[in-house]
Amino acid sequence: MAKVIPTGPFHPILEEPEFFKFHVDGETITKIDIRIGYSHRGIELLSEDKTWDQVPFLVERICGICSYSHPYGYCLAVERLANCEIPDRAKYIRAIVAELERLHSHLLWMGLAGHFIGYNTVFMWVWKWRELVLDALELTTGNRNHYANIKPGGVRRDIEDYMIPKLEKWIDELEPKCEMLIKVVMDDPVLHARLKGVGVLTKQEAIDYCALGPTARASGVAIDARADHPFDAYPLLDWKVISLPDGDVFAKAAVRLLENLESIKIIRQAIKKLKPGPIVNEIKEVPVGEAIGLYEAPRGETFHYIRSDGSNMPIRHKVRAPSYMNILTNELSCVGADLADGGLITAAHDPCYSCTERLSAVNDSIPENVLNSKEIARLSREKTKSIAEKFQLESNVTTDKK
Amino acid sequence: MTGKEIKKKLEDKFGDRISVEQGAIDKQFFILVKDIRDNRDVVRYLFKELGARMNIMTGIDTRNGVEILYHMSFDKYNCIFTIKVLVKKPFPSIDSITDIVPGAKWIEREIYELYDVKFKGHPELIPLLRSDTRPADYFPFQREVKESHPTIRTKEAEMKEK
Repeated sequence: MAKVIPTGPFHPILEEPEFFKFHVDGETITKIDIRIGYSHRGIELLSEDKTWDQVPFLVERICGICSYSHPYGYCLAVERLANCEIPDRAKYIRAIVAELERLHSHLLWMGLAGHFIGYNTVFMWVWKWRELVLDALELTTGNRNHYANIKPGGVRRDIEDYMIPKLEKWIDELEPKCEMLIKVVMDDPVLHARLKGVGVLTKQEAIDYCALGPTARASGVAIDARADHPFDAYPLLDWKVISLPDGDVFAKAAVRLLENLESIKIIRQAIKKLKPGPIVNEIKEVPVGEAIGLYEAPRGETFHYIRSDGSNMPIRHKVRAPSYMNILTNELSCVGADLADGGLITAAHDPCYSCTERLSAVNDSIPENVLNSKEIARLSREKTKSIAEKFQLESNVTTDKK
Repeated sequence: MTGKEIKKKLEDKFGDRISVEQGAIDKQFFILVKDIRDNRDVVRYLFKELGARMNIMTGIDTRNGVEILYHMSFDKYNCIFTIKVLVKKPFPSIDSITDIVPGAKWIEREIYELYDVKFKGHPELIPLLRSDTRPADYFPFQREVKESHPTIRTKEAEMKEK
């Protein structure tokens, strides 16, 4: 008989507010109900009350991790509407900060995923290396998060000459570590056994559900707004879109790991191409009309639609973050999986709830038998442990004489 | 295929039922659908036959009614088409596209919650974001509600103050 296991309203891994109801038959998930809305703040409505130059500071606060992606998408839309070409130096500065943010986001997710499946070493290493990226962001923009570095028409803060050697040194330090991480994950038999074939999203499902970013690319849909809808510096740099056909949690992790190297490649080229010059081309007036800005955030494409009546504020500003489309794919990818994997699958596309809901609400009716985050995490770690023990037994037959 | 070729294909297929305009830049196009019953046909043609991807839908409350925009992008051809449909008030309602694009389930629920637009044929049309304690007849993005809202200044209200 099917039973319902409510999980939430906090995600067991990411500790973000959402509520999943797993319908289970034994230990197998047969259906999932998703309830969101716990961190909806009405940013779209607030945005209609801000001037064109104030909106980037607001949309930056949609998400702490994609705090460069949202203003980037918005600025692209405004620049297109105002028909403004930004200076070359600003293009490369944008690329450097944007790719540093991607590294930071991917490493953060990798650490959390490692922690959840019981690989605490991965968690500690990766978060240590992530500090390098955060230091680089602090150096170039002045802040570890919420950089406030982008504005319609260019950037607000220049990368000074003295910053470049430090930035290069940190990137050189990070690259072998990212490569090592790829080897560790790709060669680990326990991770293969634990993550392969778990939470599969097929290519057709990804297309039907309009999945985005690493979730789509791990299912063989090679979409990337930086390549498909080229803007700013990206068409001038040499990099490639990473795509894998499997659609499982392993592929989603692998796509992110391989993208780290591409980001490093982009940053190196962009640093070399930085030439002295202006960093902003001021936009005097935004004409009547409407425009769309598409930017590839670490989790997928961010979508910003603006409509102007010729005044100093947008009359409508629609924001769609990638997680909005990706969280819905859980309806498909969780079905048939073990309950121990439920938490992992729902976290595999790196969901961001603040992005998805842009009112605070309290659910008064707390069900009695809520499986708390520790329980879910324990189930997941036990599963990894049992797989590891199996491997240990097989490999220790000859070596372990005790 | 370029955006202009897709525009031509659309004009050949639907004739007078739609009109296609170019937006601020040459990669962005806007399709005005005259009869709201045609929305499913146009979405199906773009999504199923031409292979577009649905980015999202937007609702905008205007004087004449609620505008529903379907943003469809062609990733291979670097262009975006936006289908515009005007849903008349009072009691705005339009056919759901969730059986064509399953990814539109949440956004239709969100537009219903914010603008009170009923999507006929949606499998589960319940509010997406609001708490259980919020009144069921409160639609925050409706023009009338927005204008009466104490914290949000509208441009008309600002003009009156001056």
